[in-house]
Amino acid sequence: MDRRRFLLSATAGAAAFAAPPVWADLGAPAYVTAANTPDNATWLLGLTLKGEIRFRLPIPSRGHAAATHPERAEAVAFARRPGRFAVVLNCATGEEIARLSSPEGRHFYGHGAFTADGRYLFTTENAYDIPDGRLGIWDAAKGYARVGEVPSGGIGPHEMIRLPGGGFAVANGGMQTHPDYERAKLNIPTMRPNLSYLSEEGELLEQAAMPVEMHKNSIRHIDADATGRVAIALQWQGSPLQKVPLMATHRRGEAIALHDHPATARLKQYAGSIAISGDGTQIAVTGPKGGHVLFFGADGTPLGDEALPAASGVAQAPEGFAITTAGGIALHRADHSQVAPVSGGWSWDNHLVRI
Amino acid sequence: MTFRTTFAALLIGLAASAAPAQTTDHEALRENVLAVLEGQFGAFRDAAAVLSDASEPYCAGETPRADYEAAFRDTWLAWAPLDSYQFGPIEQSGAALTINFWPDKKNFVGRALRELLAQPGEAQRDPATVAAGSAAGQGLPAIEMLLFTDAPDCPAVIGISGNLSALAGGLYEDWFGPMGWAGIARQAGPDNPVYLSPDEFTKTVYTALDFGLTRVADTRLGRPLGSYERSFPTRAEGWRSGLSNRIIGAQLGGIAEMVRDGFAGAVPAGEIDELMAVVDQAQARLEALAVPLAEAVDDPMTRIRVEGLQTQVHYLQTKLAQDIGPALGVETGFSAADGD
Repeated sequence: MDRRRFLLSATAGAAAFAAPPVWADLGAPAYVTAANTPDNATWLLGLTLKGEIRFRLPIPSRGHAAATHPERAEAVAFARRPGRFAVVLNCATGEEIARLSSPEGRHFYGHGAFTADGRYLFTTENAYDIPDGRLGIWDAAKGYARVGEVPSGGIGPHEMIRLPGGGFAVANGGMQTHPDYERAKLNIPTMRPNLSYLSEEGELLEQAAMPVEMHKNSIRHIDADATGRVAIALQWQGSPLQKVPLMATHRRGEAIALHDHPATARLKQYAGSIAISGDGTQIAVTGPKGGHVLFFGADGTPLGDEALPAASGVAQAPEGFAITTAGGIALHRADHSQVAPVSGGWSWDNHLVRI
Repeated sequence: MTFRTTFAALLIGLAASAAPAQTTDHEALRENVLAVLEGQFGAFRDAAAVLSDASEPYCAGETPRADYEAAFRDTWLAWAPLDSYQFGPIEQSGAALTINFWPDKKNFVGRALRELLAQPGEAQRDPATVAAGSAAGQGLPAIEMLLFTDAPDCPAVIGISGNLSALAGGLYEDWFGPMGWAGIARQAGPDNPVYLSPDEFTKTVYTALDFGLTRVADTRLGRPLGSYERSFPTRAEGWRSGLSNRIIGAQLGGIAEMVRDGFAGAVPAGEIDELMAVVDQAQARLEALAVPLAEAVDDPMTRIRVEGLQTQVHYLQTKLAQDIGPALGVETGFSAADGD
């Protein structure tokens, strides 16, 4: 490790830079993920494909996903549902830049995204007494002050992503939950998941609903390729014995297309995370409950699948995918995974965010 | 059914003399738990059927109002233990909202009833009409509002109780019928879509009991208590029908039944007895309120008894976590399979 990187990891709290650090200053961790150590302590980690930990920062309780700033080495770590905290961290120094707390009557859903210029952060939220889904808006130039909120376009907004062409896609999972009921889902018989597209300002542009017979298939996690095609990871809320596809794709102006796979059942009705490869030709879907990963072509044709214990987060990697798995991080290329061990006995949460 | 009861009785008999188990037999435990659940879900189904059958005669003026009210109260008290089980068929059917829409912070129950009552009588008495309407108009709080306010209760209670009986029967079938949830639990294993191992079902039921106690302490007692400056009597569940205290008693009783009969054989008898003593103290404090909860929170003299009950429920939770959880071998750590 060169001297500059050693100083970066050794210094905490000191103003070591004239300008805010950017991601490259950290020795380029490739990914950010939330994880727990065996003592149930909760962390946000910066990881490389070789399994090196570039930073590990404590967070107040169990984390879920993280939103990374487009330029600055800042990440927002979100509490797992139904959490009320989000912590903005300077990943170079480990300093907490800001602490976001959900307002009265709202809690976070574990996801968020920055606008392309990095000025505003949008957060998916549950307005649980209405009930409705909302997106909170926070101004990064004003210490992450909350400046407003807009409807998310449906109940239960979970993941939201910034789209390559601008604007956002929001996975409205359709599931109504309420903090009084802890994590129970309250409205399964009448749920209506949808994928909503919003402008950079949060205006609703277009929505796509699941077909009626699949209305219990919850749209939870999404990824988009350079052409604007969105890939969707689903979680089935109907009878556990019914066999249903757990991956779908969508393009604006079209209907949602569901894609089955011979190994779908290995996911146990729960797709945890999804990523489209860098060249747009492949889609990978993880099943942490099943310890299994499915691969599809860009058009949804089933390709291979692989057993990877506790396969959790998945993200683009050079020529393939990076997948967090029990004991380390796997690099999947040419139909084969190589696991780089990560020491520490980490339990990964479901998301691996590429920087 | 006979085989299962005998088997369960045999386990209980063995447990009394056995040393504390180091590894829990989750499959044996599961049978005891399912026997308790079958009894509790069956009791609710039966009470709801009695209420539904009593509705036409009541509306025709053939049975005394007091008898109908008694059937209504019995139904709510039979539901009370099930309120903890927010998984499986209750979650799948959205029963948290349809059977017991509570707390109702924005009067969704009132709004749903207004819509129902605006329909012709023939529609109101039809369970299908009720089923097609808002969830808030389908359950026990809706019937309570009709019976204990000025709203015209007939013929709407015929439709609502008919639909409620169908929901209650559906829950029982979805648990214990063919392809039911009990069958899914019995086939726990690597290929099971819900329970990857038998201990996952144990953990689910144990967590449900803890949730039930949280709901009693924080929602049933905490919300009406409010603060010393201001209490909120109408936040008490079932305040209109005078059921608030009895619902809490039935909830505590249901939890006690699961620990005593469901977990017997897995938990040393001494620890079960200790927990039952704590439950008994909670029941005693509930009795000592002596007035309905809505009144008790409003009076500084009796408020302190409600707070004492709340403290006792928290203590019960602690005992459950300290004594019962470890004895069951229930892990409370993080797992990637926990869901997001």
